Amino acid sequence: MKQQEIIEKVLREKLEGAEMEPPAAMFDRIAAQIDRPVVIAWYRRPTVVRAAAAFTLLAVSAGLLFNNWSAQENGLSTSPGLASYDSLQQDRVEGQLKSLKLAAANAFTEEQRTDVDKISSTVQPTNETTRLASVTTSKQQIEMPIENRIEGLTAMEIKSVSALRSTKMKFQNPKKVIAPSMNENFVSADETGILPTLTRSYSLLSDGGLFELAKERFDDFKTKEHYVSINLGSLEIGQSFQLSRPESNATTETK
Amino acid sequence: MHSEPDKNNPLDQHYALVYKCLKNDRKAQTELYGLFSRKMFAVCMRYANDYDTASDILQDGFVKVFNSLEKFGFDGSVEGWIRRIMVNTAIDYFRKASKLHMMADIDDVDVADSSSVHFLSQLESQEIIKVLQQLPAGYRTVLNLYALEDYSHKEIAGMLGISEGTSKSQLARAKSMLKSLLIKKNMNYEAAGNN
Repeated sequence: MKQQEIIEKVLREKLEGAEMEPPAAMFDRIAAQIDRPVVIAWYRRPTVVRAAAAFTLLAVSAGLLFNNWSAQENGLSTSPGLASYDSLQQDRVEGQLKSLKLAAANAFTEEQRTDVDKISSTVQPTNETTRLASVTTSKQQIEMPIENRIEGLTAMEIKSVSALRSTKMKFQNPKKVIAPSMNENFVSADETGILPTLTRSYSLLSDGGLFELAKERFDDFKTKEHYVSINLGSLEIGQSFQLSRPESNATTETK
Repeated sequence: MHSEPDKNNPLDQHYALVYKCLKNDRKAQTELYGLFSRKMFAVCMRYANDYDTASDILQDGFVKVFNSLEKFGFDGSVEGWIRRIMVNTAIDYFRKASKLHMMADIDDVDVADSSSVHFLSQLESQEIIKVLQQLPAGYRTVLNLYALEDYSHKEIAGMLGISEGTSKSQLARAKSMLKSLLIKKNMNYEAAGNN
């Protein structure tokens, strides 16, 4: 028997009758497509979801970068001052965080939280107040609406991802941490020492996208200690912020 | 008209399931999907170049299955019929995406050597599928159709709109590249083992 034929024989032996687990919830998508015109269910195809997620991330990132640049170009003060800090509505934020943490704990296993290579989708904004987090692992697909407690991705996230991609593994410019605040102003930590966002963890996807793990470490809000981190496998890049009011000395510490 | 199904005969059980699916019985549809989805996903993974594409093919394929059940002739295995739909869906997918690039004819050559065959026999099916996914779509499709679906070069030529010679050369190239990939993978394995 020629070697070529032996290769075919081995392939047949190994692959005939082979089984692999299809994506979870696949039948639901098929059922939706049987019952409805093809075009309605088409958008749920995994490749379309992935492309849409990547586009959304790109669009949000570009928008935030433009907003940041625009504010700086126009010489606008990005500090909301004391009133803005007070207007963070702590109760509301705390409530959102609790529900988010609960949802995350229920929806994702520890393996899914840490095994970033298996996650292939990302957060998609659906409307102003909620997002649909869609995570596809090798075993299942999970879609989970989460509250969009702070709009969009922050410039810090973008810069951090950029830093990770360039393998510098550090924040390129920690003092430029800017987050869209609750009152639609921008707040920069270097001016006020206040970072009106809350600690969040992220995972970098294998395809370069950013997935919000919805794992927030809500440290003691009252002591204004915040810790923002990005996890990449065993590596955690974090930054701790000592929040202070504008009239006192602002401090920013890096861990 | 089909006779009363024999509960011990898998073929009759599958036919009974198809009858129920024809009546739009969602439970039966779920059961039919559950019976064959794992095997069919492995088929899709062999034709696709990644997991998401394979998922798309599986999804489109099963939609075709359920929408075409009235065309099933009850004269062969249900699995074989579904498998043909999956294969055709995969071919359509790559044809539409213009990814089935076929190279010019070349002479058939014996490309494999005993070490790559030996290494191939040691791999798990999922690892082999990963190697297959690294082949260009044209090579992979012909290799799948010829070596695993038992189509002749003449049939493959008809299915893909190419000449028999091109089908043969695609197969030879596919095996040649498969061999290179296996050698590379084997070297990586050995390097990892030595560390």
